[in-house]
Amino acid sequence: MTDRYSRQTLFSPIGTKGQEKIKQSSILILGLGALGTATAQNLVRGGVGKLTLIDRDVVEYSNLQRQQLFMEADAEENVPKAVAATRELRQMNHQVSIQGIVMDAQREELEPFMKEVDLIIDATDNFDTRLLINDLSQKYNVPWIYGACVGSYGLSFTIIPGVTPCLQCLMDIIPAGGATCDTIGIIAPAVQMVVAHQTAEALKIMVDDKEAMRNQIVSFDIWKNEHSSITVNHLKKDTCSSCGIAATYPFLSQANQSQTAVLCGRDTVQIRPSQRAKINLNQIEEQLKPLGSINKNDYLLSFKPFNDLNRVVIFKDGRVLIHGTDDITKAKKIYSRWIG
Amino acid sequence: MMKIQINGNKVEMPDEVRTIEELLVYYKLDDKPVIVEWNKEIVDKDNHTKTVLTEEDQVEIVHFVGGG
Repeated sequence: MTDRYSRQTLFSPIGTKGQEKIKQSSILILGLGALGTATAQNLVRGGVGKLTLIDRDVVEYSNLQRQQLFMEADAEENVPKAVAATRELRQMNHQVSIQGIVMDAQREELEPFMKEVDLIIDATDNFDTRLLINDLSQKYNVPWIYGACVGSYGLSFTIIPGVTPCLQCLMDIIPAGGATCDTIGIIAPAVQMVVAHQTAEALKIMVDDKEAMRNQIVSFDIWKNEHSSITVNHLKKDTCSSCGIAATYPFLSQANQSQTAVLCGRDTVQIRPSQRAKINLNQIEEQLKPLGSINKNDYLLSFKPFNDLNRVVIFKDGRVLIHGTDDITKAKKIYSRWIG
Repeated sequence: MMKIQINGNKVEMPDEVRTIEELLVYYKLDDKPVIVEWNKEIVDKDNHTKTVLTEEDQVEIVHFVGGG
């Protein structure tokens, strides 16, 4: 056990002092798709002190091609990603304190974590959540590492409050939809390249090696053999509503938080009822049993109607995933048909 | 036919691509969130139509995507 981290401590920019700092660090990973599972594995093997994992989704067969902590049985049984990932990670390194949480992370869910984490890793699949992370990062002075990929393309940028521009400074348009894993696919090496950048930056932050920080947006296309690094520090705007002098954190307001979202990677709509009371899955099971096949575990109930193609997954916290459509209106109709 | 360098690769541009804006249209990135660096300097979005490309220019284009 004593030489568990020896190859990392032999690396002089980390050393034994750096390893101790890594052990003292607490990191939040938002999203457990391809990016989140791979970064989580790197951080757990590297000996991070505490890791919090948040994801709202369940494992599907189409995840297995690139989401490295999940097994066939997880897809078969629709195990929540946060549960499956935590199970695997704990076997890799029992010294790390790992908390996997199955939930849809909005402002009120995320805010309590801001005082206890040193860094947020973005492994989400949408800009709604990224802009929320961006505002929380600025408000609570927690750095975050943006990472994203589609097809064979990927990019990453580290956002340090008070030092670098924030995501709002850099994006003049907030994209609605756009290319996703749904429309143009994704290959694993594009994921791993982004993960390599995110993990390296996370290590630098944990050991406090400011000089080594990249300070550039890095992007690549691993199929077209393109690579680019752009220095963007002077794009930091004093007038920015997220990080400027009179910041108002616009994405922390309720009006900017959507209650429905199309999930990346497949045809699925999530519906989040405004009243988030815990619901009684046993009762729902009784109601739906005559109407289709049901698969239930401690976290959720999956329902496949006999004469309908759209599978419905109901979580204990009241969230519902409608599979087989990316049409929010249709999804709401299906929701009201089965759940009321 | 103009040759410029884009994200590290030499690329031949068709004649209708003369400005940064036309380059973004050519790559279907004109309505996407992008950052364009032209000969080591970031070009403000307002100047994309004014910035005329010439032979051997070095252009870096980063566009933001959502997948993960």
